[in-house]
Amino acid sequence: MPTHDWQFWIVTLLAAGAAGWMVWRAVRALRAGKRGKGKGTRTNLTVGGRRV
Amino acid sequence: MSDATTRVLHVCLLGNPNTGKTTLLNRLCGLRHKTGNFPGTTQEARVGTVGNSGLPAVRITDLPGIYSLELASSESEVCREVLSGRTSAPGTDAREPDAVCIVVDATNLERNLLIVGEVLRRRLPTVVALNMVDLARKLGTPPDEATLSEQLGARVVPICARSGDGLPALVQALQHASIPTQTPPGTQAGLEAWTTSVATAATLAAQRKAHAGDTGAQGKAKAKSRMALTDAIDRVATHPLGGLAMFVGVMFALFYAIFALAQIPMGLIEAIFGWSAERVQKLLGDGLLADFIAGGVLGGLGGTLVFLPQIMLLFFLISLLEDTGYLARAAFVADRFMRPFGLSGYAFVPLLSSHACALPGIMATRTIPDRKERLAAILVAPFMSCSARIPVYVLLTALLFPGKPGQQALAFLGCYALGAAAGLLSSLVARRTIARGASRELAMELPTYKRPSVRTAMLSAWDRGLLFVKKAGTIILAISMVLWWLSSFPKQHAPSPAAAEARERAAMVLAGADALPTAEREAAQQQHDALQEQAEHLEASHHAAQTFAGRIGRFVQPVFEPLGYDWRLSIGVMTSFAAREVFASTMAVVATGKDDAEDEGVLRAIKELRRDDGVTLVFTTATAWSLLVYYVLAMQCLPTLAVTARESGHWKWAVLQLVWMCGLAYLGAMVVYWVAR
Repeated sequence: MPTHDWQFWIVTLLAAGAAGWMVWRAVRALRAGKRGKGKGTRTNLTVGGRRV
Repeated sequence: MSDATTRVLHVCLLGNPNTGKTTLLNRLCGLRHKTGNFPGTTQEARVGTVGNSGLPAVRITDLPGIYSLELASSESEVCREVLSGRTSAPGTDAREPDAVCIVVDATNLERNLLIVGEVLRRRLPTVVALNMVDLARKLGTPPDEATLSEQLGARVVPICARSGDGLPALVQALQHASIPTQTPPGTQAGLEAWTTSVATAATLAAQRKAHAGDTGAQGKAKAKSRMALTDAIDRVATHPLGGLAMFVGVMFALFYAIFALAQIPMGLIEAIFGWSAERVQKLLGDGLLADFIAGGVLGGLGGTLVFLPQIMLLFFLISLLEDTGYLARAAFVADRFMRPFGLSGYAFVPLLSSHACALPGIMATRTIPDRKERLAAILVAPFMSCSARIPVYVLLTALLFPGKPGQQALAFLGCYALGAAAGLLSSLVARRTIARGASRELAMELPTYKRPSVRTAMLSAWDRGLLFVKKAGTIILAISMVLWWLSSFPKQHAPSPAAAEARERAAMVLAGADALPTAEREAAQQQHDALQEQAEHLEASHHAAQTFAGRIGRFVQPVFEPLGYDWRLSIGVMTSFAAREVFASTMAVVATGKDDAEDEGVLRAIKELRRDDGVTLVFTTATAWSLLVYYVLAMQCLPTLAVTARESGHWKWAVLQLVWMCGLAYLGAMVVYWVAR
């Protein structure tokens, strides 16, 4: 590993940030999936408190 | 600020399926919700707001299309609940709407009046939007709005939602909507007789006015010739065999056009990314940062965005096709073919929607009345080739048939056909085992053929393109950056013994060649160059195999070995589970990571990628076909699994879907590899 090279630390930081963002996104997607909530202007209607 | 401007009127948009409610909502509120000219496109209520100065803003809820409020379907139930004020979209108060806007198809008045009568009986402020008056004029004489308004006791506004004609008048009418002055009969038989009498009165009044203006005969002649043309086309388009042949022909022409037209923009995108990578290298000089930006960022983005022209062209052409009214005929023909597999024409729209993305496709299965048929449709919907698969199809077909758009289009069509066939066969299995039962009869309305709207098609292409660019700029970029790091470290400085041996042999070939005759000297030079090239490939492969990505790839490679994939392809398949398009960018990052890849195009670099022996190509004919089959059949989409679990009511169905599709993909790809090698 070229640990003596400052550029190595920059690219490692960027790659680690990208990996962290992906994990955060996956966790959020799974949670949203469990809750069953959508995004944006689409809106789900419910009848008697239950989604149809 | 006055009360009038701060108050928000709650308006419900109601009407029969396929009368243009969503088109109207999009036009009024500047939204771009998906519309379609076959029933069932709207599956969820959508909300938008429109306002003009000095008058109350109008908040519009677009409800699913229904034929009657009294049906037992979930869509009718939602509409009933919203009209009675018992339910509303989240974020809005549950109260009776301030006004109901009933969208009526002017070309088919009588049938549309049933729901109008049902709403009028509820004594809510009502406005009738008489849509498609332009088409009604072309077909003959549109209903007379003054007579219609008088008969209904409610304001009637003629509009054309597609062009936007009459919309300001409609908004004004909604802002001043009043309770209707007439009440239709309370019994079903009375209501049906009422619809006939109202429609007849409005039509006769219009005909009288037309005769007075002497345009009736001309209009009738035009309508007659138009209907004759529609009937003539439909004789072929809805024929059991002719319809199928027409569908295959239309789809082939569509794909051929995509491949032929996309060549120039694809070359341009490749050139831009190649130039950018070169500039970065020159600007930053030699170093890891320059390599990271050129290989990880620009390589990954370029390897994905190069397919943007195909995606935009595909959705542009499909939107044009859909707008003509042809796809509704395709649904009609499909009903006959789907029935033996346990699916009816009800499943056609969800399966067709799945070709854009499986998520709305699975949600659209809510229109299927039979619960077991719906489960089967949910399970097989992801077999339909979604837009995420397009970059992979384009890459692999381009590698298989370089410079032959006709053959590329055929292979592309074959991918779609294979996905559909696998879906139907899987449905057959499901309907014989876990979801037994017969499918219901389908009744559907065929829209008249229309000249397609280029604006709508361009918006559709733009939206899809934007979605793809967004995905490329987020998840695909992130994966490319991580993958670049994994395939660059740890750095291997020890030379490859195999490469050293190849170089030694190259030197030996050239030694003493000066004394040989010209022809033999040239042959020796060629052999030397080939050995040097092999040595370079061996060196690159040796270094790549020692990196983290190489180690992970070699660890999982035994799983994919029977399919003919080396460790690079195994990595590509594994990363595709985050998003299918990532396969193309993974290959681009792996290929452009080579030292000699700077002056090559991304596609060429991928094509020239070699295995560890430095001789065999990574993408042989057998592996390319095997990959194509794998990507057609495999389930590689986490959000789809989540939606399957949600819509089917249990995670076990999502797990079954994953195992079944991946198992089928693995077996299919293995068979293809062993046959083609």
